[in-house]
Amino acid sequence: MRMNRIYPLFAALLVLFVLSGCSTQVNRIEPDEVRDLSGAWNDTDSRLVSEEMIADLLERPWVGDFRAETGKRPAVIVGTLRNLSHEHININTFVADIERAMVNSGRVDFVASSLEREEIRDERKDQDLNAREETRKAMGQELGADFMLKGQINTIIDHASKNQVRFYQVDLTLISLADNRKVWLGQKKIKKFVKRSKLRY
Amino acid sequence: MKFFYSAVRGLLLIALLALCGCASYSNSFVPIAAELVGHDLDSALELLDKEKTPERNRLLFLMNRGMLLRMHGEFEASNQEFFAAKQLAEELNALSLREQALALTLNDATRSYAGAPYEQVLLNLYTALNYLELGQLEEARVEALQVDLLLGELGDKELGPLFDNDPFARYLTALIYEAGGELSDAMIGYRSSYQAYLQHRERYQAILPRQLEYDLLRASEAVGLSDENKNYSADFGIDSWQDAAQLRTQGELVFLFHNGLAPVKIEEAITVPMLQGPLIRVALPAYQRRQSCFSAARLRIGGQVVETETFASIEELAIAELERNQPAILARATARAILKHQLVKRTDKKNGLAGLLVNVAGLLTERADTRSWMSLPASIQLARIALPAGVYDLEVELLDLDGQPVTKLFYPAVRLESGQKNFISCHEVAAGSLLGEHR
Repeated sequence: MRMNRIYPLFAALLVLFVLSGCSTQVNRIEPDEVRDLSGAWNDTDSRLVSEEMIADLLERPWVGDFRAETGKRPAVIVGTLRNLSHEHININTFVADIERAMVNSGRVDFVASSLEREEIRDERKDQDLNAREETRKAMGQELGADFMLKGQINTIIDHASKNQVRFYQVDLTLISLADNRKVWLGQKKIKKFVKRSKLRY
Repeated sequence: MKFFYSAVRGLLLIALLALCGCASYSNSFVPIAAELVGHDLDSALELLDKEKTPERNRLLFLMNRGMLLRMHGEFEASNQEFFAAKQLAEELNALSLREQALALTLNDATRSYAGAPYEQVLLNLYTALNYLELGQLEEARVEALQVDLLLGELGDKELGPLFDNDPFARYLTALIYEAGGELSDAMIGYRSSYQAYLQHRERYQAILPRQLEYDLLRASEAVGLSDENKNYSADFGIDSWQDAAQLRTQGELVFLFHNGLAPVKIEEAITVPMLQGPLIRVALPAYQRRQSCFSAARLRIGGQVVETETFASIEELAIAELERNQPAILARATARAILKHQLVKRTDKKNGLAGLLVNVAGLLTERADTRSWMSLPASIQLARIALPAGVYDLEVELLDLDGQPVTKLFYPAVRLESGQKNFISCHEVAAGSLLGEHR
């Protein structure tokens, strides 16, 4: 009697086994489409934070003040951006997003980072030896930066059983290289509620 | 006549069982462990890759592969495996009713291996160590934060102080914070580590490392906890130590000795003949300690001689974890035995031969779950040496249980920079340690 009830259960299990062997599916999505999978820092966060913060940076009075004082556009360089969060965040894409937003605004000049500069200098040294006189670029003609952008990403995580609240705080500071003045402080916060599944197949 | 029939049947079943001494999971690691003795990691990796790993053991495969790559000095590749393992462990954290049902009808080893709590913590710690040995302190710090988070989550599960307050995990995270100049975080870590050692001492012989006493004195002084500093000084009987400012002017070598291999789970089964009925078999896992071969490593560098101290005993953690789980394992085994017994009785009534077959199938599928992360060392030892910045030759002697040097290792041109810590790991598996010492 009881055995009869077990058979449908076995059949159901069998069907589940067969279904689990489905092949890989690929759906193309737009790069700016928001799709959160694990709740970790992702491309959307990187893009939103950099766009919003740089928009704020360019609106503030320091740009106008600098132009009024010197009559030229401020030159900015990106310094270190520290990842103090609990996730392995790819800082490089974040920095690239920031650089793009700033350069494309046309309101500031942007100086290559120290690592990029090394490569350019090597190329100039090479030109010195190998390039034609009229196309040769001289050394010592680099644009010195007026401001350095530094920052950090911090996280606070609160958890209870399978639920997590992830709080990200990105702080950016623009410091004047001439006198160490902080001319702009930017802050952007992101809060996520992550509910992890209690059951799986 | 009926008694004779059941006796013959019993003998037949026992003979069948003896013939079919199926290998359990832990057996599959034996040839790999043998390669580790001779440091032949290419062969060990090849053996691991060749093995057919069922999906349910994927976590073990990733953890073992990461560990072997790490022993080979391929820290980045190792971390790739560890990342995949961490992600999988996170997914397996959810409960699968299908696997629970299988565990109750066939055996525990049919479930996906999700990693014991101490293994999950060690997964983060070894990822952090990989980063430290690559010189990527910021990434190691990320792992340290994840360890803190994981220990907090384990604390929610109330597994007991042995699992949610791991002294070595706390120590290594403190060391990472200190390396990054975050002294107050380091102090909190060292203090938690100290408290954990005291908690663990009650449970098993976890000896408070002398090094931690000096770290506590230095850190508490540096952050201005003068009362706490005085108490430590009195408790430990130490009244002079190198202060944090002095240490910053020097370079520091942090040497980790990963000693031997973690214990092996073996199957202990009993087969009970029921009078005039089927045979019943209950298989349970038990730990077999490996023989320890090295007591410590003695380092000679820049005129200093320092011996490593045991900071983590993975062997004890593993055995304690099994003890914690044993009631649940036994309950499942009993439930299975009853279920299988009922099934045999029912089938036997209809058809004797079918009953016999069901009984054989039931006996053969009753296997203990002998899975564990077996490429872990039996213990992790550590020594810290501060020296003026420079390039040094490091000589390491591995000491046997009587304190006599048996193996010599040489690390040429170890560079120490002031204010920075240089992490070096040594994994050593002695041939003798592959032999078990049954308890």
